[in-house]
Formats: sequence, C-alpha cells, structure tokens
Amino acid sequence: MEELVQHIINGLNLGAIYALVALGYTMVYGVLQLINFAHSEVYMVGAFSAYYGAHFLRLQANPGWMAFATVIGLSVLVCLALGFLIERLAYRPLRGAPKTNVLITAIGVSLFLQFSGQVVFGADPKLFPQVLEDYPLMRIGEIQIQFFDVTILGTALLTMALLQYFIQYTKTGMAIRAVSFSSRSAVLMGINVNRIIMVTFFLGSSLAGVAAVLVGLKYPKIEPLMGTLIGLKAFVAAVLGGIGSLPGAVLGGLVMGLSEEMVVAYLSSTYRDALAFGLLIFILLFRPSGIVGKIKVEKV
Amino acid sequence: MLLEVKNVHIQFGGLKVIEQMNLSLRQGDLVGLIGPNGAGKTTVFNLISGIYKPSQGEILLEGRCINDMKTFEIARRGIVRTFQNIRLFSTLSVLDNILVSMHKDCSYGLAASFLSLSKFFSTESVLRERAMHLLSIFGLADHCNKMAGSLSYGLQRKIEIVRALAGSPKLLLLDEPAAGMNHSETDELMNLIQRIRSDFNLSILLIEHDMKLVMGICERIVVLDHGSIIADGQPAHIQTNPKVIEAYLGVEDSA
Amino acid sequence: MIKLARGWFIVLVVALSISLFAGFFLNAYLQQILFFVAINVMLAVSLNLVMGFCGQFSLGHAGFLAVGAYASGLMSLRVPLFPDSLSYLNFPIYALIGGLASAAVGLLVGIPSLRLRGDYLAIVTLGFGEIIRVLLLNMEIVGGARGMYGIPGTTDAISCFHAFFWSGTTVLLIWRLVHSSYGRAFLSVREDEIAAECMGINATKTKVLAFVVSSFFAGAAGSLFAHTTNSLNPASFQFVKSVDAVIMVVLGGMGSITGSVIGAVIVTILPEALRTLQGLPAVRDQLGTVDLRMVIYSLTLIMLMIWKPDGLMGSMEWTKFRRRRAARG
Repeated sequence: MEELVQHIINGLNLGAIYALVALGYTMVYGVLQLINFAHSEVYMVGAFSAYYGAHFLRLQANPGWMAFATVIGLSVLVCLALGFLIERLAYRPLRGAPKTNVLITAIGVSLFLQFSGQVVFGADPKLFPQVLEDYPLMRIGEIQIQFFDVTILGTALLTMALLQYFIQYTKTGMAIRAVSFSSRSAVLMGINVNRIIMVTFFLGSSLAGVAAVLVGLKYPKIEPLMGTLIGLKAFVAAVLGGIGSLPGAVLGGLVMGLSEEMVVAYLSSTYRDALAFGLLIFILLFRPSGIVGKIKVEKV
Repeated sequence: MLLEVKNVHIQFGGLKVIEQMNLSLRQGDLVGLIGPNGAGKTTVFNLISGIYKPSQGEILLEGRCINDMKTFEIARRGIVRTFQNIRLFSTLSVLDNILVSMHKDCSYGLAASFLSLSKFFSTESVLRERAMHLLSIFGLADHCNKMAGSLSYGLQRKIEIVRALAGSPKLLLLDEPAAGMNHSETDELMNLIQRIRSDFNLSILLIEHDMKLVMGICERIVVLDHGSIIADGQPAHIQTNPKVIEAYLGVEDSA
Repeated sequence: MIKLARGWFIVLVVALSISLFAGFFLNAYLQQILFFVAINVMLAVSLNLVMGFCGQFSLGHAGFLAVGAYASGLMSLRVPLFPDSLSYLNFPIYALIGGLASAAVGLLVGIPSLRLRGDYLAIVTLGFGEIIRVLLLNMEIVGGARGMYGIPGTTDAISCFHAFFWSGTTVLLIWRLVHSSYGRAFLSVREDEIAAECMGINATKTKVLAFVVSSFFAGAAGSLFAHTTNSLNPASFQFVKSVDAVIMVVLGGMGSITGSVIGAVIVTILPEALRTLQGLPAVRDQLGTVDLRMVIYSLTLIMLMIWKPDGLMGSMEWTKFRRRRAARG
C-alpha cells in the first residue's frame, strides 16, 4: 500500500512535468494547427542554459530558493528568446503554406537544434547544478514525502495556475482563445494575430523552461538529445487529453505520468518508452479527439 | 420512385439543422431546392450524397436504404453532385478530372498497369474517348489538357458538371450552378441543364438562388426554411405561397 | 509489344551499364555508396507514391525498410534456397520476400491509420515506425539490440546489377502505376478527398493501395540494404532514417518520380562528399571531430521549405521538362 502511494506521488510529479511541456504543444497547436516538433529542443536548451548560468554565477555554492528562482528565471528567459526566434524565422515565413511543408520545417528545426546542441554543448551528458537540497520533508505512516516531490509538484501547479489566470482573465488570454477557435474571425475582430501567436509561443516556451529546471532537479543528467523522449511523451499526453485543449493537456500529462510510473513499477521498465507509442496509436485510432476534445466535422 | 427522403432529421450537437424532411423524386424529374441562406439546402445535398448520415429517418435510392453507405458507394450507385464552392482537382488537367469520375469503370487491375498489358491500353483508350466525347458535347474539348485550376470561373463550373456526368449518374445534384454568372451565361446554363436531363436520361435536383433559372426550368420546387420544408409544388404555386414569401421577405407590419 | 518491352529494356541497359562501370572503375568504398544510391532511390520513389502522389504523410518509412531488411536477413541466415554455386539466385527471392513482408505490415498499419488526416496520420506513422523498431529491439530471434551479423551478400558487379535492376524496376512500375487510372485516383485523393469520394473513388482503399505498394518497394530496398551491409541493427532504422527519406522526396519535388531519383542521389552522395571535406586537414583542425553533417542537413531542410518547397523538379517529370524547354525554344 505504501509502495503504491509512493508510486502515485512519483507519477503525479512526472505527470505534472509532462503537463507543463504538453501545454506548450497544445497551445501552439491551438493557434497554428502546427505540431511544434521543436518544443522539446526548447526545453533542452532551457536545461542547458540553467546549467551554464548556474556555473557562471556559481550558484551551487549557495543552494536555496534564490538560486532556484534565478535558475528558473534564466531558463525561462532563454526559452522565451529561442521560442521567439523559431516562430519568427522558421514558422512565420510558412504561414499559409500547406500543412506538409510546415510539419517538415518543424521537424527540421527540431533536428537542427538537437544536432547543433551536440556540437555546441558536446554530446556527453552533464550534471545539472544542485540549486536546492533534497531532504525528507514529512512522514505519513510508512510513506516518505521528499522536499523535491513537494517543490516540483508545487512549482508546476503554481505555473499552471498562473497560466490559467492569464488565459481566462486577461485580454490577451481571451485573444489567444479567440485565435484558437478561429483565426480568421479573430482578425476580423481586430486582433493582431501575429502578436497573439508570438505570445502563445512565449507562454509555451516559458512553461518548457520551468519544466526543464524541475526535471533537472529530479533527474540531474542532461544531454542534447534529452528533449526527444520527454517531448514525445508530453506530445502523446497532449493528444491523449485532446490536442488544443489546455485542461486536456494537464489531464493527459497526469495520466501519462501515472501510467508510466505504474508500468515501470509493476510491469517492466523495458517497455516504459514503448508505452508512449502504444498509447499514442491507441488514442489516434480509437478516439483521435482525445479525452476532452470534441470531434470536428468538416464543412463541405 | 428514384429517391425517397423519409422523415429525415439531422443535428450537430444541439443544433437541429434539418427536421422532419420528406422529399421524393421520380425518374426524369427536374426539381429545384430553394430557401433563404442557412436554411439547410447544402446539408440536404450532403445527406443525399452520403457525406452526412441522418440522425433519424431513411434515405432510399431506388427503394434501397442508403443511410449506412459510404459516400463513394452512393456515388457509384448513381448519385453524383457538384459543389457550392467549386471543388475541381485543380492541379490535374481537365481531361484527368473527367477520367477520375470514370475510375469505377476501369476494368483493368494492378497487374495490367504494372506490366502495360494490352488490356491497359485498350481500356485507357476507351475511357479517354468517352471523356473527350463528353467534353466536346459541352464545347470544352479544346481545354482538355489545360490545368483545371487555371481556367475561368465559368468554365470551371461547367467542367464540374461534366465531371459529375462522367460518373453516369441517375440523379445529378447541382449546388448553385449559376453562382457568379451573368444573364447570358445563366440563359446558356438553363438550356444546358434541360439538355442534360433529356440527353442523359437522368433526374436533377438543383439548389439555386437565381429565381429566373429556378422558375424557368424547374418543374417542381421545394422550399426549405430553418431546416424544414415549407412548400413543395409547381413554380406558379410557390410564387404566391404566403409562407414562402414570409420566409424570404418577412411579414408585413400591421401598422 | 514494343511499348511493353521499352521500359524493361531501359531498366536492363541502365542496370548493366552501372554495374559494369562499378565493377571496372570503382573501389569498394565507392561501390558501397553506389548500392546506397540504388537503395535510396527505391526508398524515395516509394515514399513519393504515398506523400507526393497520394498526398498522405508518412513519417515511418524506416519501419518498412526495417521489416524488409530483417525478413530478408533472417531468411538468408536460416533458409538459404540455392546452393553456393547458384547463390546469386537467392537474392532476388529474398528481396521479394522482404517486399512482401513489408507490404503485409503496410496493410496492417495502413488500414487503421489511413482514416486519419494530415497531422494525425503523420504522428501515427511515426509511432508505428518507432514501434516496429522497438519490437525488433526486443526480439531475440533477430538478435535484439545486438542485431544480426554475417548476412550473406556482396557488393560485386553481379550484386550491383541486381540492386539497380530492382531500383529501375521500382521506378518503372511506380511510373506506370501513376500513369494509370489508379494514379489518377491517387492524385484526386491528394487534391480533394471529399470531392474524390463524391466522384466514386474509395479514398481509404486508394490510400491503402498506395501505402501497400510503397511498403513493398521499401521492403525490397530493405533486403538490398541487409545484403549490402551484411549486418543489421535496429539503430539504423530510427526516426532520423524516415526523415532522410522525407528529405529525399521533398528535395526532389513531391509528385515527381524524376525528382525523387535526383533527391535520393543527392542525399546519398552529399554527406559522403561532406565527410571527405571534413577529412581534409585544414577543415579538421577547425572543427575537430565534430559532426556537422546533420546540422547542415537539417538547416538545408528548413531552407528548402521556406524558399523552395516545390523542390528541384516541382511536380514535373523530365519528359515534361524536356517539352517545356523545347517549347520555350
């Protein structure tokens, strides 16, 4: 029983991280109908900027909330900038082009960043800086809850809450929802669609930046190809929940995290990654609109 | 009875688009379907051609229920249509557009294609001859090798009709064939439609907003408003039907 | 009769000339590159059938390559059909088997997947490609992560002829298919699937047909791959390999068979040329052991999509290209 709860806690943590990254995918898909393959690499670059930044500022010497916040800030800033560049240089020129072309470009950007990362950062893995110290926070019976568990889940939830507030209660957030619904109508309402798309990329990339630091805390080994696997799983999570839907992404992320944890714990760890593909195919073949999504009828 | 629509309803989510629809067509009929914008006319076409499935009711083609048939099956059984917004295969040649409709009449298999057997050549030449013949009837033979998307709007509309005819339909559904045409083009179209009906021995159901055309050639008119049929009869009766007038123009103020 | 024979005649002549040339003038390294050209041409042309002509996105082509390679490799290790003296006769049969195995998988994957559109189809095919790889990784009978070794096959002139014969056959058969009523059906589904259905085209069956034919030739290519490299490992069939195939098709021009051939040749030869370039002392000093090939690759892909998305040939074949040139005078 205690073991199960421990696994649930782990699963929720993992799921929260997947949710953060999944939100990025789902938001961009919502406004552009584009699968932003490069999102996983933005996440990777965030992790590396935190790494280099922490070393440069010698943050390891004073672990604590200041260091943690600084590292998150660094990661988010770099991810914002990268997201901006990708949208401006690679995706915007293809606005209006056939979907195939845009998808291929997205794949190209993703690969470019992966391999450039190998060139620039070196292919060998590095150790993420320890900006916080982990310790057992509390015990409930036999179950041990680590400080990191709470921090990760807490930060993730806080970030998602901020996003939710932004999307639901600000003008820009409403504009984003409008563009997701129909960008042509949004233009007619006077919304600057280009700006909104930019903001969406900013938001998605920031979330990836936060996720990168949280992952770095829990799994400190980072390397330039780290984005691929988590990107895939987060994407599956987004599709699982219903691509284009924000609550769907969160739900999908949690389901993904929990099921992965359960599979590893109770089935076999060799099939951990295959689970993502299996889930993806299952969902796409039987309910492509996802858990929360609605089936769209094409108008003739 | 060629086509029977019996008590058909369709709704999307909570929105009831077509309610309690009853319509029948006999062999050789030329019927017009009119109604204000948003009445559901194209939805009716989508239902009959199998793009949408009815939520309730039955659609029968020559006595056989086609509710559960796939779109292409219905097309092969004889219901072919044109579209409100032209949907030609724009990067294909005019001739190829026509030949696509004839794919179902292609009697050679993969082996013949791969191995260039004589069956391939003979069938292709028969199909091409038929297609060219069809194009020349409508004066389009000169354009046969041009890219369909590069031609004028009026020509494209004509080609769409010829493409539909190439499928040897029993029932031809024309969705706003006169859209964007001037008076003389519309007159030409009216003659064309009547000729098609008699020369090709088929029934025609058409959606139109151009009243001159509708009143001019349709033997029967069905009026749709807000998803229900409000009138079904001869043009003269429809013109004076108060419900029809109300649907289009509203009711006179009593003041 | 003459029409029937002309295509095969060209294939035979081309295969013969290339293999003779290779046998006499090329060293082992260059010979192997030539084999990869033949394999990649098959890969690109078959993928183009699905992507360029039928308009369906497939990101899992590497999976079909893998199935063909492993089926053929396994068969050659366990069930050699002809004795040593006639061993060359084995390879066409292995290639056929690789093709059929892949086609079967293509049918299995295609039927449920091809109901999906656009992005979704892309992702599902990606998923299936990866699942095939993961399955092979975990199957002991094909060596799992270690892979298979000692697969028979040479890169001599006779094998070269065999490879290019298959390559030429792929181009010929797909050319003919595309110029038949089935080809028109593919194109109509690409242009407007709903309109095609309304004209009586069974869109799903059409897409599955393209998919199965495509996977057959990819599988045959896989067989050639296995017998050229003499060893197989799931790592050779990752997503990047599928992207390779996509690059070849896009570079050449989706919807142009000629383009796919050109694209395959360029994509095979360019990295080797770059590798030589990197080997030069001056360049090596600057970059060290860093591998820039994939960086240049992906950058090229992005620039292609932004500035020349139609690729080199657009959707023209060299026959139309010739006519256009003549018309322009």
